[in-house]
Amino acid sequence: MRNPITIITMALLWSGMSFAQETEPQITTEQEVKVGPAIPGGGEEKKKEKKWDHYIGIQANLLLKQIISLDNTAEVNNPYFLKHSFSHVNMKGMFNVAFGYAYSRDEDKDGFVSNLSDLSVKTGFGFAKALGKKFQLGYGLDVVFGSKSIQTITIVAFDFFGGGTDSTITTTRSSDLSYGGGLQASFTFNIARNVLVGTEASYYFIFTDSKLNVETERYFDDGFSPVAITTTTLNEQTKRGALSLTLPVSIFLIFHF
Amino acid sequence: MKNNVYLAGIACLIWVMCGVSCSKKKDADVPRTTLDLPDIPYDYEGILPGIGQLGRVLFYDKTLSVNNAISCGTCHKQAFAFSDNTALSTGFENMKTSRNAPPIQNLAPGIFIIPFPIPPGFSFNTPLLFWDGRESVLKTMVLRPVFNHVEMGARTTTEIVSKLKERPYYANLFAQAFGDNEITFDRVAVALSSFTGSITSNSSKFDLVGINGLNTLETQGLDLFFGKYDCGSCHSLSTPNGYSVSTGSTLLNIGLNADYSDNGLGALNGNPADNGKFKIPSLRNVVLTGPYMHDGRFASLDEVLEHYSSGIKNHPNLDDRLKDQNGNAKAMNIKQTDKNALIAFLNSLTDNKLTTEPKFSDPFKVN
Ligand code: HEC
Ligand code: HEC
Repeated sequence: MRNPITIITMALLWSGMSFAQETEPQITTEQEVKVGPAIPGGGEEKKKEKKWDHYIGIQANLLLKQIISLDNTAEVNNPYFLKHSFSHVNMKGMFNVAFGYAYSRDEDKDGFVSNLSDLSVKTGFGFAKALGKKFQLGYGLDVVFGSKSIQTITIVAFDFFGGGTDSTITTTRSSDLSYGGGLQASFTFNIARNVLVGTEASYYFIFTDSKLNVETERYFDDGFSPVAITTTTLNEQTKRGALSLTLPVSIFLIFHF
Repeated sequence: MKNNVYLAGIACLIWVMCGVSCSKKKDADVPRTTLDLPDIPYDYEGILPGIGQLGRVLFYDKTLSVNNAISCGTCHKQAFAFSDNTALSTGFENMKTSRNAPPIQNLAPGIFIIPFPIPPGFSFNTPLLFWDGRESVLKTMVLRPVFNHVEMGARTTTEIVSKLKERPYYANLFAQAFGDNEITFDRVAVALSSFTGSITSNSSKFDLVGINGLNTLETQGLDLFFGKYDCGSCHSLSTPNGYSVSTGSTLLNIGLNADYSDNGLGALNGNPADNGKFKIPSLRNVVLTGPYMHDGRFASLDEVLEHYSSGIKNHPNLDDRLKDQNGNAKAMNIKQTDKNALIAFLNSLTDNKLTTEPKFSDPFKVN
């Protein structure tokens, strides 16, 4: 999971999968107005043999930020960049799945290396309600899961008075495993046929199990006696539960098919 | 239909590429660090030279962080009046702090030389520390970052003490500071707080030449600062902390947002009437301390002035001085010429001695 290629492949597979599910030819007319997945319109049903409705959403904040300079008002703390909602035409609600992954690696000249990977997944079931022809309100329940890990390596080599070296290699590994669930609400707007923009808010209760492990290896050579090596380890585990609110500041670009 | 899938796929690809930061190249050999101290310790204001010297070493020693990656000086950089030149600083795991690192200057009570008569009601009270004023005792405050889980990540005091004992230079430095070479956590706190408290800025142009020595543009800026725009009713120049004591409230809301994501004092005490309240920052060296505000949202002084000019938002706790007659958020409508004058005046508060003073500089040399 540490490899960006994997994510791209996953993302593509995901969209590919949804595509594969509806290979039957569609007989849709230009005039038809789509309002949302929860309104698998009775009238539409006979026009086509479409069985599944899919909505693929991509969080657009970063992309937008590069195009227009957004007002720095609120930070975006929605970790999901890919959302997929789908429903069967005969079904009242819809299934929601969302996925987010971040990876970064940093190295500096002083010998500091850090690796971060952050995975967020959620799934749930919800309903949508049309507000006029252009707007939809969605709401539902979600189960969420997250896994974040950070590793850092530091190497410090110290030359001290009178000769000799003292070098220390420190590795820290921390991981946060979180799971929980709660309410989710979304608001979408049709900007074109089958293209929507939306935002979502959530209120989840999340348990987090955090671990920190620090390992230090010290190589000490005072120039006279041979190198002495000492290793120390620190292990810490903490568990906590907290309510977490995500404000509707992330913007999703959603494709319907 | 097919096109939509394509579009989604391509957007995903771009997204992932934006999100994944590219890694930099690694330098093969590890650089060697040495400690470069003067033969005779420098003089520090109000404290013993040995203590100042030990404090200086501790301030720049990455040993104080759990993985030897970060020192106080990593976030509090001398070149920027001991503030950080990024909106949010990076801690020991490369994670961001939640607020902007403020400058460190004139924090010890009573060490500042005031260039003009003491205003009525002024007392040398201890400064409020942190953006929400949650600490006021420097000696306890300076060790908070060491144990902060984003900043330096240390877990216990014993762990820090035993790490310091492993460093070959401390026995001697503790002996010079305290008379014997015993390394204790309390001594670490004393040295570090004494050093940070001794970081004094009193050599800006404004300090040296006084009100009458400023040039025309600067004087014009000063008049606007205290007169027309009344910045001086909050930002004082005559108090070491930089906030005006006559007004009473040193933590207040300036309408940066209609709804703050970080509520400052309100988040600390849970009182909604304090939401969005932050400490009035000192404007000493303000030209150097950007990005500005508690979250570093403004990159330049122009943007700050733009906020006061037309960006103040209505907020239930917005300070009265930033409201118009009808109780709405005020727009100061600062003209460009006035902005230039204000910035020229703020420039006169820059102390270049502070930023170059060897006794406050990083003694660790990496080669
Ligand atoms: C990872 C970056 C980072 C490191 C390392 C760090 N600080 Fe800070 N410092 C900050 C931030 C951010 C704040 C503001 C926090 C807040 O207000 O909530 C701050 C605030 C302060 C303040 C308060 C200044 C004021 O006017 O309110 C002092 C003093 C201070 N730090 C001293 C230190 C010392 C001493 C160390 C080393 C032991 C240190 N800092 C290490 C980021 C850092
Ligand atoms: C009502 C009191 C008040 C007034 C009037 C006021 N300020 Fe401020 N100022 C503040 C507070 C409080 C902050 C910090 C707010 C925050 O970070 O949330 C601040 C922040 C700033 C900063 C950023 C400093 C830093 O280090 O981040 C600058 C620069 C500044 N003000 C300049 C001015 C100027 C120039 C004026 C006059 C046009 C002015 N202020 C008027 C209270 C005030």
